[in-house]
Amino acid sequence: MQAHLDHGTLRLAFAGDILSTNVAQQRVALLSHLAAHPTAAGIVADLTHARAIDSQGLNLLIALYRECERRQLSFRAENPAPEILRLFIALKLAERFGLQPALASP
Amino acid sequence: MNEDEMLGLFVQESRDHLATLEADLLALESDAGDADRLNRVFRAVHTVKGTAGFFGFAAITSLAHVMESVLALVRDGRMAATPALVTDLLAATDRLRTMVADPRQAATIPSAAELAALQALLHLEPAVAAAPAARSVPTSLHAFRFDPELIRAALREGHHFYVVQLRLQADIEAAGQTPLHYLREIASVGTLIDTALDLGSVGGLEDDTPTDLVCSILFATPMEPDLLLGAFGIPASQLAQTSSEFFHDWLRSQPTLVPRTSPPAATAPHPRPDETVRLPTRLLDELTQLVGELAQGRDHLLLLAAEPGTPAELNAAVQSLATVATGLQHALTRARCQPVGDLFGRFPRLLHDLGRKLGKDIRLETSGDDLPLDRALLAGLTDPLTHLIRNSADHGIESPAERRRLGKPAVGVVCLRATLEDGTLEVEVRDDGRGLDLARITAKAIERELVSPHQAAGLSPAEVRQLIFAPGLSTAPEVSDVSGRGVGMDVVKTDIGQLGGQINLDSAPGEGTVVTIRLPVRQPRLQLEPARAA
Repeated sequence: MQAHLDHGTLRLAFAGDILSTNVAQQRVALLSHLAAHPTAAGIVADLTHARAIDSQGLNLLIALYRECERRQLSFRAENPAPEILRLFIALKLAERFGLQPALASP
Repeated sequence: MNEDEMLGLFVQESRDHLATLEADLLALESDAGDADRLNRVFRAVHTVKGTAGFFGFAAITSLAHVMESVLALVRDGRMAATPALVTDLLAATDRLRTMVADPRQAATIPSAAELAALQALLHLEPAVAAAPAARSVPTSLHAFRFDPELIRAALREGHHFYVVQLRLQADIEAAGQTPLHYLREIASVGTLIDTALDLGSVGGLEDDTPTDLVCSILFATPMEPDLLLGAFGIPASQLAQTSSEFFHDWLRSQPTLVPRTSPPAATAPHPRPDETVRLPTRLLDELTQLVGELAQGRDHLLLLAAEPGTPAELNAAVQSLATVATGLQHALTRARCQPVGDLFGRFPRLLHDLGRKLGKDIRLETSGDDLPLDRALLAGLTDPLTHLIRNSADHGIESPAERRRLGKPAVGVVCLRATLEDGTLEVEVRDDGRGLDLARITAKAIERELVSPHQAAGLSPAEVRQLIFAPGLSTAPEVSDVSGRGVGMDVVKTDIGQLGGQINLDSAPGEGTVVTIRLPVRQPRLQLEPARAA
C-alpha cells in the first residue's frame, strides 16, 4: 500500500484487490500509515488498483471510515472499479464514502 | 454477458426509452389526461433511473430522479403538462440522451441547468391537516428510507413487503454468491426498496475481531413467503413479512408535493405499443445478400426440376423449397421496411422547438404513418422534410396574433401525409399559413439576377413558384438560425432528385402552401418471384 500526504490529506493507495486473504495485512498497513501521519486532516482511499472486494474487504473499508469518524478526519474513496462502485451504491456506502452526491429529495 | 455487453444493452434500451419518452411528452402537451401515456412516460424515466442506479451512474440517476418527481405530480393530477413544463422535460430528456450515449462519462456532462429548471417546479408543502398521523415505524424498518414512488407502485401491484437480514459472508459468499448479485436477484422478482448495512457492528481499525456484516434488505414482490424462502434459500428466521397497511398509512401521512402552478387539462387516449427488436443494418444487408443468392439457387433448381424425366418426388421437393425461399424473401423485404411513422415521429419535437423559438403555436398532423417503406428511402427523405417543415414554421405559419387578426385559429397546422399508389410514394407537406408571396419572390429573383425584369413580367404564377427552388433565393426578410439563407429549397430539390423523385409546390395567398414529393418506390434488391421454368 502506498501512502503520501497531499495538502494535509493522507492518500492511501491500495495495491490490489481487498479480500479476506489480505485484509489483516492491509489493516496493519493502514494503522501504520495513520500513525506515521498524525497531522493528516483527511483520508483518501485510492481504489484504482482494486478490481474486487469481498465482505471482509468491505469490512476493512468501513473500519477505516469509522476510524476517520472517531478521529474526526474526513474520508472519501476514490476511483473504485465499476463493480465496486455498484456495490457501494447498493449498500448505501457511496454517499458515506464521498462517491455520490445525495439525490435531491422529492 | 460481460460488462461491456451489459453496458451496451443499457445504452440501447435507454435510448429506446428516451425515444418513446420524447414522443409521449410531445403528445402529452395536447393530450394531458392520457393516463396510459403518462404511466408510460413515468415508467420510461423510472426504468432509466433504476438501471443507471444499478450501474452506479449517479449523474443519470439524479437527473432521472428529478424528472420522475415532476412526472409523478403530473400523473397524480397535481401539475399540468403545460408547454413550458414539456419543454423543461424535453431538455432534460436531451441531456439524459447525451449522458446515456456514453454513461461512463455522464458525470462530466453538465446537467445543472436542467436539474434546476425541474427542481424549481417542485416545493414541499406539509400534509393537509386532515391527513392521518403517521403510524409509528416498526423497529424492523427503522434503518430504511422509503421511496414514495416505489412504495406506491408496489402497493398498486398488490405486492407483499419483506425484510430479509443476511450475513454477507455466511449467507451470501458461502453460497458462492456476491452481495451485488444477490441484490440483483431480489430486484428481478419485484422491487428492491432499500438496503441497510449494520455499520454499528464494525469498530475502528484497531478492532480486529472478525465481523460478518449484516445487510437488511427491504423489498416488495408478488411472491408468497414459502415460495420466496425456497427460491432464495433464505432461512425462515431471517425473513419477515411487513404489513402493507403500514405503507398505506405511511404514504397517506407523507408531505405532499405540490406544483407551483396548477390545474390539469382534459383527457383523450391512444397509445400504440410497439413490439420490435433492433437489428444492425449490416446484418440485414448480409441477409439480403444471402437471400438473393438463395433466390438464384432456387431458380436454378426450378429449371433443373422442369427437365423431362425428373422424378416427381424431387420436383415436389424443389417446389416446396422454392415456396419457402420465396416466403423468406417476402419476409425479409418486410423486415427492411420501417413504417413512415418512424420518420414522421421526428417532427413533433422539431415543430415544438421551432414554435417555442418563433413564438408560434403549431400543431403537426400526420397520416399514412403505418405505410411500410424501405429504410434507406426514409433516411433519404429526412433532410428534405426537415427543410420543408422548418420553412413552413418559419415563413408559412403566422404568429398567433396575426392569425387571429386574419380570422384564423391561433394554432397553425402543418400536415404530413404519405400515400403509396402504383409504385409511387407521395409525401405531402401542407401548411395553413400565409402562402407564398409571389411579388416578393419575383423581386428577389430579379435582385439576384435569376430573371430579368422583362422575363419576370411574363412569368405565370406557377413559374414564379418554381423560382423558389433556385439556389440562393430566400424571401425571408432576415437571416435566422431557423431558415432564411436561401440554401434550403434548392437542396431539397436536389435531394429529391437524387432519390429519383420530383417535387411540386402549390400555394394560395392567405391559405397556405402544399409541397408534394413524388418518388418511385423500388423494392429492395431482391428478386421476389421465382423465375418461370421454360
